[in-house]
Amino acid sequence: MNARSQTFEFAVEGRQIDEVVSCMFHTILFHRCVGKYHTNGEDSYSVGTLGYTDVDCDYIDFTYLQVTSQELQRAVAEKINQFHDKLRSSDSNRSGQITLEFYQKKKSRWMFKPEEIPWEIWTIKIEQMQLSSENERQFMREKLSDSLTERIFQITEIINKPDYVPKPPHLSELDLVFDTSYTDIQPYLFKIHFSDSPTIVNHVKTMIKEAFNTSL
Amino acid sequence: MSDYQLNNEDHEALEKFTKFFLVKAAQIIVQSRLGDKKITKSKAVCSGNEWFHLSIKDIPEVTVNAKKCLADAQHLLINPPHRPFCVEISLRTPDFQTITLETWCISFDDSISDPSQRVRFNIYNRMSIVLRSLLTCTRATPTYQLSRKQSADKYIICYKMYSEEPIVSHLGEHYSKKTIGNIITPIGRFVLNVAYRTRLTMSSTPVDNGTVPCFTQFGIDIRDDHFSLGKNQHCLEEDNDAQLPSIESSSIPKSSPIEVMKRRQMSSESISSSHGTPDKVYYSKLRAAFTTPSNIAHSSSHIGLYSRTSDNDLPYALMMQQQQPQSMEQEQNSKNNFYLSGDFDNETAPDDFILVEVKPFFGKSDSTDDLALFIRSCQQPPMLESFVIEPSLGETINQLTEELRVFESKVEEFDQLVTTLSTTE
Repeated sequence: MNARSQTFEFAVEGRQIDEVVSCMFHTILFHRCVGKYHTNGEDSYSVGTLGYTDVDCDYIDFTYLQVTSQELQRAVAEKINQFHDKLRSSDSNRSGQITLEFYQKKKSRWMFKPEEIPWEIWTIKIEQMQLSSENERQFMREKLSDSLTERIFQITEIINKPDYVPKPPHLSELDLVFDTSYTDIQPYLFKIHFSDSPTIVNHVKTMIKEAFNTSL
Repeated sequence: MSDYQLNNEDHEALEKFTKFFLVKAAQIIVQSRLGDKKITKSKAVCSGNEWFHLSIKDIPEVTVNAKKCLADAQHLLINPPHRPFCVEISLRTPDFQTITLETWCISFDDSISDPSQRVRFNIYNRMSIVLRSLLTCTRATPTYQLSRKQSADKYIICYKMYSEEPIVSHLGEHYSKKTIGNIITPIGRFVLNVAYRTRLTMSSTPVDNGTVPCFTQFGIDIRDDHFSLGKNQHCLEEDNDAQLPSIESSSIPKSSPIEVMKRRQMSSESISSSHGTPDKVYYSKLRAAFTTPSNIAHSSSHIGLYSRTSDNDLPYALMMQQQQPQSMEQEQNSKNNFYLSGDFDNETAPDDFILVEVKPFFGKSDSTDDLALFIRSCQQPPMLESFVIEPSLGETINQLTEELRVFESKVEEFDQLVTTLSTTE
């Protein structure tokens, strides 16, 4: 199965990296989350309720929405911080990319680890800028706000397309589609990975890995 | 038009989902313009009251207004004639000028359908996704940042709901239109759109009546953060536009003249009345009301007084043309009323009562034109009658004798009056 993928590119200052990536990822995750399933018996279940929280950005004139879940916020923030640190610690590389990947598990035979098949990939490419004047900084800040507005509408447009989304499985196989480790919400299985240099070598590595996985 | 017919049960379910979908959408839009951050809790076990698996607290006023609007439409959105449901967001200044900022619209198109969609599962979940898209998009439009900075002395954000085709002509020339999401059902497709104003600046193009706005020469652009001060939210009950529900009540706003000037410039670009009246009428009202020079001191007690300024200013030209008492009625129609004291028919004060030479504060001191005479007459109080009519000594004594005779004949009445005054209850 081919995962659909979407890439967004941003040119930002170092201190804006966290907020831009958080804004994008949380907007996506808010749509790729369901309420916590609560089983009432063998085959019946109830679905919990998703809350939401407005988050004001400090370095961008923007407010985004995220699911109210401290566990999810911690998990996402941890990955974004690692990406941020890696990007800013490298003097030579001023660009990098971070990917939010939704996948589902496929049971494998024997005792092998279940196969992880991505079905939706969101990539954010970050180019770090160094601005020299306050006017330039203010101009880029406003431009970034407009850019984020456009991206939010793009995300909602993509998500509202009638594309593939894993169907809720039987209750006993929920963890093949959803991450059931959260106490208050139930996002689709996802992982976040990043690199500080979107080189051709990395692309080839990813392709070989995917080809190996699908051939088994 | 879709030929597919839902069974009664599914049709009832779809109607019910649609009603709640529209009400929740209205709640999301209005609440996002209240000016504060929202936090709602995720619940692992739902209580049964939350629709679409989303924790959206309802403001009762908004629910009532939305249901009333839907009831007034007579037919629900999914039934012909499929009247769209719209929520309009506008900005209102303390002097009650309004500018429409965005129009959110939920429409139903019966030409696109999918019979395979299950009402109770697919459509319900799709509605949940679209409401989440609406939640995120309401934070993304420029109006959100404006609404976060509203206050009673700058501007407030208002909403209006209606069941008709969306009105976008009030959004200016460069409005932007986006689709939030759509839901395909067996009998048609819901589409959720937003059209929002992108520019809060003056337009230099002539208005429809052929006149060029007299203040386009200033050409001041208004930045989105121009109105940024505190986040105090106030409520002014006005007209049919509902104020966004708020906790605090308002006080009379006070503002600096430059901000008043800029607000008027901004609001003149494409003013829309809250009742959908044509821009032309509203604009012409504003033109007559524009009387404030940029250096006027503002406080409620100074409204209507004019500092020294050029004779070419519109309000003075208006006054020059209307020297009759009818001018009092016309001036009351403008935003800044002149303070007119005295009676135009009074005699002017005799020269020997003038101790200090009167200098009209916007003209020459020895001017004999109508304007200077008018100001002089207004500055003197009317003559007391006793200074005009002076009786002789004999007449005064006779008058006093007559008055004494009247008082003596009514002694008993005066005694009764004193008695009533002295009794205590």
